[in-house]
This record gives sequence, structure tokens and C-alpha cells, in this order.
Amino acid sequence: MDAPADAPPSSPADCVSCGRPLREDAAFCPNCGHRRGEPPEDRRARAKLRIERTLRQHAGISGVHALVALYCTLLGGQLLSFAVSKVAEDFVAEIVGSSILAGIIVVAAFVFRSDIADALRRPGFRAIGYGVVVLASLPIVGIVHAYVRGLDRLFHLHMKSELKSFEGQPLVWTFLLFAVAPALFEELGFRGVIFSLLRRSLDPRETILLSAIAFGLLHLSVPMLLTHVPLGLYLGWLRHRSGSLYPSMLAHFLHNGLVVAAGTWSLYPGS
Amino acid sequence: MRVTCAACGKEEGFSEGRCLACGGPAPAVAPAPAGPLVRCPKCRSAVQKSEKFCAKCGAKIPTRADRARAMNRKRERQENQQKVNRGRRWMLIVAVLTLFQAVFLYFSGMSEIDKAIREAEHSDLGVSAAERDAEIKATTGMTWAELIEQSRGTVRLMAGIAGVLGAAFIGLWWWAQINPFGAALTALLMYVTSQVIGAMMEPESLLKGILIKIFIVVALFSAVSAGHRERAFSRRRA
Repeated sequence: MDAPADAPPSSPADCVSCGRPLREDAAFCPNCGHRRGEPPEDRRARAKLRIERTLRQHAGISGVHALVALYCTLLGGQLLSFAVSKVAEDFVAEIVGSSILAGIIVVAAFVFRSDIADALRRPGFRAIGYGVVVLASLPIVGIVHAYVRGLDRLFHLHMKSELKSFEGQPLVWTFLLFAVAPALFEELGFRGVIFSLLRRSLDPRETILLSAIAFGLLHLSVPMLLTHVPLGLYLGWLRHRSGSLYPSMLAHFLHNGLVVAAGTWSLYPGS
Repeated sequence: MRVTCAACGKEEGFSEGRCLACGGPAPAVAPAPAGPLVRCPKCRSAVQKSEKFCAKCGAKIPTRADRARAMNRKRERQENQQKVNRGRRWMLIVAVLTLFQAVFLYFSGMSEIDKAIREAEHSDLGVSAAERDAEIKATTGMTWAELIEQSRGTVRLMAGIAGVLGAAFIGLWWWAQINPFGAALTALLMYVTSQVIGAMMEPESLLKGILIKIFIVVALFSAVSAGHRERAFSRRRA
């Protein structure tokens, strides 16, 4: 409460915050709770803080609801892609499936553009950081490849390569749909929108963990959770560490690109 | 209690820091107001009922509205805890059902494969084993033995997946004690994803027990919201 301009100067026994007289033995003002002898607090700043905290809480819970809605929409998109794959050729189904997911993610990114704008503006690491990301991609792909081969041998699955559907198609399509599109859209979706929605109310560690779980689950393969969740943790950590989406996009592109390159080599040696 | 002016000794009262009788300065220290006393909830010292804060420790003296708000908050926390507990119960039910499903998948799958093998080996179609192997090789690219191994491997993998999911739900049930929000959100995403995977493998499975599935999704979603509210409340207290 501001004192009027013509009021006599407050005595040392008056509360500096609300102007009420204080008893001799009072350590705090009984009217406003202000500690005696401390400078007056900025009441406007306190009210602003309270409003900000309330808004943050509302943003947090609405963020969680939006996340669940987005995840379910993406699952619906996966189901639709699957239905398309039953009636269309494999190659066409892959294109339609990727387009559906990309469309959902682009719409979500537009709706929550203010949440992800900062991550899109920042360049992320310096050149040396990007160099480390490039180098790290090789052992990561090696581990994932060893795990898939081990699974195949353990259960005698004779798994067919996902690239089979691209047989006879130009190689550029394979790279576009398996390496470039996931790196752009999955990162925009998981490390962009979902990460930011979780970050509204969670600390970085929980945000990385939950976004990685969502990333792993949406690939719709329980055995591959063992590789996709750690991969999601790594990509989420890159997003948190750099504050940008570009390092995780590069890491994702390198991972998928190397898998496609290895698959193409084994399917069509010498190509 | 009337305050006496130090200059004139009268009890006329004071206005704007001046005695109303002689204009002398008011005493620097405010007199202790009279009225019923209450105990400070923090330091237990005596506080005037009309005062909003304890003059000794600065704690807020709860008013009737504060007490009503505290009661509401307590009720809200109890409701949140109930919703989280309901979510945990469903996690446990899903875990048990999925583990049963794993056992069923394994034994029924293996017995079906054995039955198919017996039928194929004892069928009287006038085809020799070598001719049968050649035909299988031509259509699947695998030998008869490899085909059997693949079928058994697939059943083992499917049962293993169901077992891992069941174990994961037990893990989430346990985690929900420590972090209700994180565990409930993971359980919700995991459950809806497993339903979508099931629908891809067998579309009609989506409608089987649809009411129970809706109950589970609603209970888990409610646990997510309650866990989040509880978390915000704990942070505010911290």
C-alpha cells in the first residue's frame, strides 16, 4: 500500500510495507506479515508471480492433455496407414503413411508454434558438437544392428528388410522416406511439440524420459522398445543440452541414413 | 485501551501522528490492541483474533475462509489419491491379464504348431516328404525345419512380448507410488499403443471387451490428471 504524498513520514515503529503502527515487541507486522526492519516488498511483483504460477499450472495440465490427444491422433494415423497398406501397393502405402504422420505433426507444430519457436531459432551446438554427433552415430547404429540380428537369430524369424517395399524404386525415395522425413517430422513432433508440452510442467530429466517412452511406443514394436527408448533418451538429451532441434535432427538422420545405406547394400550389393 | 499523550497527559486520542488535545507527537510504539486471543499455529504464541499475521513468527493466522480452503484442498488431495490408486489398481489388473495372455499364447500357439506338423506329416495326399520340402522351399524360401523353427520362434516372441508388457505394467504399478504422474502417463500411452498393435494384428480384437478397455483408459487418464495436480500442489508447498 503506497502512503499518500502529504502524510507525515512513517516512524520506525510503522510497518514499511502497509504503514500500520507496530508494537514494540513485534518482529512481524500483524496486518501484512512483513518482517520488521526489511525493505518494503514489491506487491505488484508478488501478485505478478502468483498470476504467473497459476498460468503455469494451467499451461502444464493443458499441455499434458494436448500431449495425450496428439499421441492418440498419431496412433490413429498409424492405424490409418496400416489400413492403407492392406489395399495399396507397399511403396504407395509407405508414401501415404509418411504423409499422414507428417501432416499431423505439421498441424501440431503450427498449433504449438510458440512452444517450439525457440528450439527452431537456435543453431544448437558449435561445429565440434555436431562433429561428435556424427561420430557417435556409427557405434549407435552398430548396437542397433547387432540387436536386430540377435533377435532374428534367437527367434529364427527370418525377418524381411523394410526396404523390400522399395525394390525397383529410385534410391532417392528410400532416403527421403526412411531417413529425411523421420529426421524432420519425428523430431519436430517428439523433440519439438511433445518435449515442449512436457517441459511446461516437468523437469528436464522426466521430460527426456517420457518423450523417449512416447517415441519408442509410437514405433509400434515392443521388441524394438529396447533400442528406440534409449535412442529417444539420446535424442532428447541432445535437444535439452543444445536447446535446439537441429542436433537431434542430424543424429536421427544419420541413424536412419546409415541403416538405409546398410540395408541397401545388403539388398542390392554394388548399388 | 485509551493511550495517554506524553506531552499533556490527556486521553483525547491521536490523528495523523498528533495528539488531538495539545498537538504533541503520538507515542512511537503502537499499543497492544485488546480483544480475544488465539494461538499462532506455528509458534503457539498468543495473537489477537483480529490480527492477520503472528507478530512473533510472521505465520498467517488462519481465518474461517482459510480453514474452509484448507478443508477443500484436503478433500481434493484425497480425491487425487483415490484416482491415482484406482489407476494403480487397473495397472495391476492389466499386468495380471497380460501375463495370463502370455502363458496362453505360448501354450496354445505351440500346441497349434504341433497339431499342424502332425497333420502335415501324416497327411495322405500322396506327396512324398522330399516333394513337400521342395514345394515349401519354392513358396517360402525356407526348408520344412526352418519353417517350423520360425513358427515356434514367432510364438515364443509373441508370448515374450506379452510377458514383457505384463512385467512393465507391474513395474509401472510400483513406480506409481513414487511418481504417480509419470507412471500413469506411461501406462496410458503403453495401453493404448498395445491396443492399436493388437488391432493391426487382429482388427476384431479392438471391439473385444470394449467397455473394460474404455474403463481402463478413463481410469488411467484420470490418474494422469490427478497425478499432475498432486505434483503441482507438492511443488507449491515446497
